[in-house]
Amino acid sequence: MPKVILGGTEIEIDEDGFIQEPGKWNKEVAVDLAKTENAFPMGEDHWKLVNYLRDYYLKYEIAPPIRMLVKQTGIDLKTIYQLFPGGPAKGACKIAGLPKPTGCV
Amino acid sequence: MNIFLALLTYFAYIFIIVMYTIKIVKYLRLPVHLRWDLYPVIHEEKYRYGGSYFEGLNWWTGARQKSFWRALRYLMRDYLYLESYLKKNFSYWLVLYTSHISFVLLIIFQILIIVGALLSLNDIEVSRTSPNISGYFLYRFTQFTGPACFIAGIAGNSGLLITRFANSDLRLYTSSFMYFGYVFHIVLSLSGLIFWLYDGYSFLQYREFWKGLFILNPVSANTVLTCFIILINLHLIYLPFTRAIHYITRLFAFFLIRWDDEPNVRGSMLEKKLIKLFDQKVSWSAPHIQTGKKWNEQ
Amino acid sequence: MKIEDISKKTDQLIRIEQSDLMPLPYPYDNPEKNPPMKMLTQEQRDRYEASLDGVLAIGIPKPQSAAEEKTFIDKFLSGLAKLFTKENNWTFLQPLMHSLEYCVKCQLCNDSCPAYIASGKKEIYRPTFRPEVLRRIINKYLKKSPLSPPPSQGGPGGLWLKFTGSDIDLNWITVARLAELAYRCTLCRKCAQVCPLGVDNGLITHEIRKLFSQELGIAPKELHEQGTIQQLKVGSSTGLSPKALSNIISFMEDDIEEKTGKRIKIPVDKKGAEILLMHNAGEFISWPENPEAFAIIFDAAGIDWTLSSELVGYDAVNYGVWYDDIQLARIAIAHAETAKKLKVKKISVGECGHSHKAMIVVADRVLTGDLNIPRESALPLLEDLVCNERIKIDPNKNNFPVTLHDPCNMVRLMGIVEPQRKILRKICPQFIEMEPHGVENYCCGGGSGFAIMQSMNFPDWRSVISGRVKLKQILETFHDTISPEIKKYVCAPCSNCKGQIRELFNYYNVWEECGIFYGGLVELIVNAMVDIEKPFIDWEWH
Repeated sequence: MPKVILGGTEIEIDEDGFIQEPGKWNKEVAVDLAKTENAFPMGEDHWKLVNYLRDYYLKYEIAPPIRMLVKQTGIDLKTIYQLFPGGPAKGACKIAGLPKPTGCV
Repeated sequence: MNIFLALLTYFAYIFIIVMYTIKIVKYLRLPVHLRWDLYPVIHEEKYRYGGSYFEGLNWWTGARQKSFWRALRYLMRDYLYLESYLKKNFSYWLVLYTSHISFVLLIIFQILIIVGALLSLNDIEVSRTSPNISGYFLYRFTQFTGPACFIAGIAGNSGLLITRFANSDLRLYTSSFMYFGYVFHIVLSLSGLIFWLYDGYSFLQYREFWKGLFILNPVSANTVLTCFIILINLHLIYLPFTRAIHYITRLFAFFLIRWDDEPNVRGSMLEKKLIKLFDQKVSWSAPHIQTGKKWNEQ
Repeated sequence: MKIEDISKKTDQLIRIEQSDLMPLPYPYDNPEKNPPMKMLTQEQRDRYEASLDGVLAIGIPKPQSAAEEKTFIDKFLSGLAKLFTKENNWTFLQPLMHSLEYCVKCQLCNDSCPAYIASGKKEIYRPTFRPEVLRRIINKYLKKSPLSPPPSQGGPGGLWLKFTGSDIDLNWITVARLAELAYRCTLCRKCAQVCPLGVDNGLITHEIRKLFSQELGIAPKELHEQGTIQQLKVGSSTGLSPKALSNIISFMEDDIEEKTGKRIKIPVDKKGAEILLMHNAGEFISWPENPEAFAIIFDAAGIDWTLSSELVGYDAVNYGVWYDDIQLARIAIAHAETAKKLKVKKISVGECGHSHKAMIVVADRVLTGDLNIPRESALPLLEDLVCNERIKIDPNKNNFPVTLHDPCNMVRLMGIVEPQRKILRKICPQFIEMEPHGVENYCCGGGSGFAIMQSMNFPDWRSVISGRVKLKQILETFHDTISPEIKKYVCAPCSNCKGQIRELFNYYNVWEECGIFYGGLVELIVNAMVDIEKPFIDWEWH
């Protein structure tokens, strides 16, 4: 697996840029990931989504359903795509330091 | 030479029978496999659109309507005129069908000759002047079947040879052995045709040869007939090395694999077989497999 | 290109060029305007063996030494030998032997392969190419014929093998390319369906995958580590734990209340229920409206049902059916044990094609004794509820063009053809069929695990090659109503197919350009229910 410098630390990422060491995630890492995902600079709504995903992941070890994300943050899907051109799973989740989604999702 | 021809003939027949029996027994003795059905399954009630018993609510409760004869008829129809090819690729069908016809006629021709030999052994004359009606018709049938087989053999196999060579999709997947097979059929058919012309269109000498085989008293054959007999025997020996037995294995493939939709019922013979199969040791060596342990311990 | 070229050390066996591809209908009829395929980076090409077609599904790291190359080839050969032993491969021995021995190479099957036609007939994707490579390796390196001792022994082997068409060299690159090539066929088995001799090239692909997984431990990580291994460990290939499931279920109950005004309690682990409903767990995460719709329908019809929160019991998937018999058996048994513990009367499988095939059909010869619990598709039950009017339907609520995609696993491989059609004819006044459809359908392009394989440029290959024929079919079906102002619906009652169609539509911007949406079957049923006031289908949700 390749290693890259994100937020000043060396972190292992997978072939598609998802970090493999979730423990090393912090806001600086998120900002650097956002640069690769055309989601820079990160505004209030970016952080609202990223933080929600991060908290959900820490609690349930999985990304929430997108519907849940939309409902709980009050940010609609269209806006999510504007904020994260890669979309909620490949863009927002990656920046929030979640592993790449697996299974039939 | 007489003895050689006779021995070669005995050997060729025994060889093909033994080889084909081994092949068939081997095929049938393979263990029952996991289900891998493919629809439409013709014995099913809703075969017209490819439906199965899984379309029914609580499918395991109802009685199954299964028509073995419809399934068999379906396969037989394809034997008769190779329907799948006719629908998809007419020019290929034309040469393929002709060569298949020649193959079937060759079998019929051999049977007619053998029956003819048996008849004359029982003092029934096989000729166009035979007072016996079976003798007469047998003669006429043989007289028709032989040349029809040889002409179809030359035409069909030349056609296949050319088609498989001229079409780049087919050429890429055609081995020299397959080309050899077409040439072999053509040569065999040619020798048969020459013999027929040479023999005065009667096949009398060939029947005489077979008579000799039955009474264990080999008769002599002229050069033309000798060539034909040698070729036909070599052909029998060659067949088990080809895929020609697909005439039979095709039936197995449909009944035992593609249309095998037999559900596993508790306490059935099938279940007993499966329990035995699961009791075998596995030797796959990937890390996630417990090598040396049984299927049911995985 | 010749078959034996697979052994030649070239940069890439074939190149996928836009201009070679099968043309698409309007509005994608200009190849230059269609999005190009993503290329691998040089760094990825250096690390992985990508010399097949420049695409990676598995990503086999290049060998570091000659010894490593040799071990790899030796293991491949030992695995190949095991495929032909009863104890190791009784599961598919008879079908495998038949398909290897009786193909007459008439190429009648070629045109039925969506990947082969879509690619502009690239040789390596031809349905007979892969089996031919395997056959040659077997003839040359596995069979002991007196006429062909290995060339290393200086016998006449070389010539005889050439004569019989078994020319091939077994080296590292051949084996690595063959492994990748096993993941360029979706196992849709349309080629097998047209074969007059009962030869099944899809099955041969399946067996090649098994050999790599069961002997060398090589499989796409989405199917293995993150798939079956994760499912057996965490409970689901999605990583969904029972705790997360319970959170999502309460979210679904809220969502249902918001959409329908009615509070429904979704039953979980209800002992002795009539039906244990098993969904593909991906539905809970990506399409929760689908399990919600099931709950609404079952509640309205008064069905005695339950979900399970047991590990594996809430995820109907069984990726083993695509690449590994041992994993298949382990998961099938875990599914059955869930049902046994709950003492349900039967298992009903939701809208997931491969779990239909795996759990109901293939596993039928894995489950014996009291594990052999009745299992059926949810479709006949839905047909009964809708067509016998056990729930009230107003078809006018679904007054938009609808077409049906047939998941190969349910239809061609299982014979469930009519229930879904009877429902659609009843609830969708503008239902139209695709051509061809039913058992002769084309795969969505995401079959056999492709829809979940998301690494590197494989998703692009799916959208450009394997899904191309499906996209063409969908566009042609809606030809008369192609304007984006007219909303249209592709009903795909399968999680995998939905995932693939979603990616396909995103890739080509199909919603924006053509107004075509996709979704399951139960969503359409609920959308037409008389008692539900608000529309259930959310068109903006694409």
